Amino acid sequence: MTGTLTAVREPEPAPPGPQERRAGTAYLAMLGFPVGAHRWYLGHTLAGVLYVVTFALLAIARFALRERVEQDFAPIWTVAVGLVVAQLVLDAIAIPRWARKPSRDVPLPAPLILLLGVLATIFLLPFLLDVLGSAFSGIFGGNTRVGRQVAMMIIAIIGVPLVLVGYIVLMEHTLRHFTDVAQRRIRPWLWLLPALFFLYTFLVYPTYGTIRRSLYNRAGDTFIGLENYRWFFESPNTLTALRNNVLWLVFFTVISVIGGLLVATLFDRVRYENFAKTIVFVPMAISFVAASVVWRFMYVWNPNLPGSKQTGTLNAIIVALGGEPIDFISTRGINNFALIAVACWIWVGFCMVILSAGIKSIDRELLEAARVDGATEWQVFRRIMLPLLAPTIAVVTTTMLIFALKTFDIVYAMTNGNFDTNVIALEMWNQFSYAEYGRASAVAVVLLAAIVPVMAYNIRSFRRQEEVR
Amino acid sequence: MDRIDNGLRRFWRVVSLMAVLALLVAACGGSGGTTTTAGGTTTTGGGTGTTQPTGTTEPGEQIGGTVTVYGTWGGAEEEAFRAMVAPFEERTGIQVQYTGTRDINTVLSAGVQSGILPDLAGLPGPGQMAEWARQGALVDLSTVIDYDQYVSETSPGFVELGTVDGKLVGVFIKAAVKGLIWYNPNVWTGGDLDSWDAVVAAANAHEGAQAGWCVGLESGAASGWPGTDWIEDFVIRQSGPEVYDRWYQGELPWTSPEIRQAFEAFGEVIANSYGGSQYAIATNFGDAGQPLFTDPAGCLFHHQASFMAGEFFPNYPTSPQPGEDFDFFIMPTINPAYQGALTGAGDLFGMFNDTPQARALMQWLVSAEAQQIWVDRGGAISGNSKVTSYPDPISQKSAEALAKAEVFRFDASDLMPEAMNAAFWQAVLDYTQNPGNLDRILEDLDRVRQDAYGG
Repeated sequence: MTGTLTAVREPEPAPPGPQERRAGTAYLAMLGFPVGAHRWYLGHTLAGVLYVVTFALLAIARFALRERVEQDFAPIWTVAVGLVVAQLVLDAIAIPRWARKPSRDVPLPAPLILLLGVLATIFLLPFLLDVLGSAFSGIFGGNTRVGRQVAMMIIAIIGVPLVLVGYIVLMEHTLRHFTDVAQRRIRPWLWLLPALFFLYTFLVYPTYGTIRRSLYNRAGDTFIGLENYRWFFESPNTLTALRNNVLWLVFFTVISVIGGLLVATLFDRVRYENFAKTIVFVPMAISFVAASVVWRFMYVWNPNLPGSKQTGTLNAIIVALGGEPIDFISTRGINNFALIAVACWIWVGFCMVILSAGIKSIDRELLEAARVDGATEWQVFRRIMLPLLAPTIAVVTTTMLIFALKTFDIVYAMTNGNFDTNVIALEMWNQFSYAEYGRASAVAVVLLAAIVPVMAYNIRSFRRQEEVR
Repeated sequence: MDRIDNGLRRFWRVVSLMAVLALLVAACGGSGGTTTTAGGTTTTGGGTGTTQPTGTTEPGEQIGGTVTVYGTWGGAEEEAFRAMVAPFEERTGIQVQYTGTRDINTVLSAGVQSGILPDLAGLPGPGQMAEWARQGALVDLSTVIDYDQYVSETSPGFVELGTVDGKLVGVFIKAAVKGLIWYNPNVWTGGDLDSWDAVVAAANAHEGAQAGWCVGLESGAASGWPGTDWIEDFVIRQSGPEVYDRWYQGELPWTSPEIRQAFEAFGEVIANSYGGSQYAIATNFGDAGQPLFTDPAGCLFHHQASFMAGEFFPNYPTSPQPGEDFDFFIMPTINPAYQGALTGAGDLFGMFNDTPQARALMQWLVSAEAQQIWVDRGGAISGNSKVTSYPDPISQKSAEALAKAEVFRFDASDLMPEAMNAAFWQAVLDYTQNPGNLDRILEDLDRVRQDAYGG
């Protein structure tokens, strides 16, 4: 059961004869040599020579190919020599012991060889990349970069699963040396380990790194405590950003959720529902930057001077109706809402789709029963639909809250934070581009701290919803 | 079970655990290994480069391979660059892979940190270049190009700007003269003016036009920069190059009278501009000159760099022609003590990876032959003094102005640290909108100055 995954052939039941001989044959069997044909020291020598030759070839190949001594040339030799020494030492301990009392378990060198394979692959990788890269670049018209990329892709496609399979085989092999109880306890963790490793590399460590970096100065060499946070909560520019994020939180969330609810409810029972919903949903398919560019044209303002016309859609309408043109982008008090309107235009469709699905899942009989009992449409909506939709509304609202907190693209593309429209995420970007990594990290941490509670609530309510189902 | 078996079992347990651990370590080390490889390949040329004598790569030699270039050029400028490298690609067989980005500073900053960089790149400005040079990210170009020839063909100001700690790390691919006052000869018939007072008087009278000036400050994420050019031109003409240097180096406070005076002078321009401050803010710098050519003319003068002649004016709806429909004079001296002061800018180019292909391209780019290709497309001025043939009288005039400038200074905002530069852009917009808030705006700038310079 536990051994089904191991690729290593188990040795035959030890034949009678000198103990030394049995040890050697098992060892050779494990190396892949025909059992019983050679004495163990022959196998041992062969294995040792194999290691040295492999690494020497590797080194020579790289040396010859690159025409110079690589920086990572020394580690290869260190590892090669280390492996050979380690093998000699371990053999010296293990084999006599094993010979004294043969066990059904395959001796140590099996995992060692697997390990060697993986190590060799890793060190071979650059070499492989060069060879495959130049081979592929021939196919792609001499473009070495594309060739290398293709080679890298192929290595990743073959190499990553290979390493993972190696890990699983090795792990299962190792587990066989434990009692059943211990196995049951350890196995889940060993299977989880690669996932945890990725989680650590891509989530835990960067978070830790960001928090740590936020406590250091610009150059990153002096610990300055909470100085970057003091800057954040004292400089007028970031406080404006903070204020604007609050505006976004309130207005963007409320407008897009209520708008989505309105559209979803009103279109619920009309004949052209799907068509109408598609129209509302279409902006969702437009990228934020493209939407910003489109809306910049909508907002264009020209001065009211002889010979000038309003080329912006909205101002053209305003003037046609006899109003004064408004500069939507740079008038304080208007511009933030002009930006929020763009975001709402994009996101109402999303809210609508989710809420509409929620409405569809409400039992029609419930609504009919209420109507039969004489409830008005408003009462049906207020007393029955809304309470039943509450969990869905909560999820949509929190999703919008998170988006409002991390809003970036629209502001960056439309005003770049000028005219008091800055937001936190844009300020983080700006600090990053000033090479103020400490401050940028502090802004990131503030943003994270603001998002985490919303996120936690979102996950919890989502889970509760799942439980209900 | 007997004692030995137990011992053996424990032994295997420990050993196998160690093996699993070692594998994990190897896996981690593996990712490290690949990154050093990336570094390894980038430095490969470095090894060969040191042994390779300077200038062995003849422009006509077939080398093959590719060279990656990042720059800020897009649209017409990108086309000009591609035209410039086309003969190079043909002769050497090297492919030039150009990527244009508006966020060059962010892209390259991240690259310097991670080591993933293009072979050659347009650098954001001398300030940032110096920082990267001190971090050792930029290759010393004096071993790449013929240094003596470069020095003899380039104005000393440009050589100096590209030199950090005695090493030439940046060369100018093209130059622009700033502080040109553009006009439409059909509207402004008074020709070139040589005193600032006369310019102000003419602008105030704005005969035949609705206003004295055309100003456009919008430029996407860099909005505000045309105003910084205005202020720089005032600072150098009012207070001279010494104040100018102290100012961009962060030694002179923004609240000092010299800088305040320059802001106020800019404020007067805005007050006499077509459409007023709101128009200036909402109008793209490229479109800002359009009212020069409308009938009736919107404005008399437009202050902008030499590049207007190449990429913007000719593309206006009325397709104005150089010399006939637009002409310029250099913004005149204000304080006679600082006669002939001129500001300008240029596209700096640096080398991150020393490969034979990158060397070959760098040698090509600084050559007069390559520079001529760009110049022939109009609007660009070469930093190379051997390039003397310009396609139109306007470009010719700009190039001559650059060549005979007595005092030449690089665009100050480009020399400031990035945070200061961005704050300056923003301050221009803020001041244009609210001229009454000058005190607060300058104080804010000083607050930024206090921590933008320094480590």
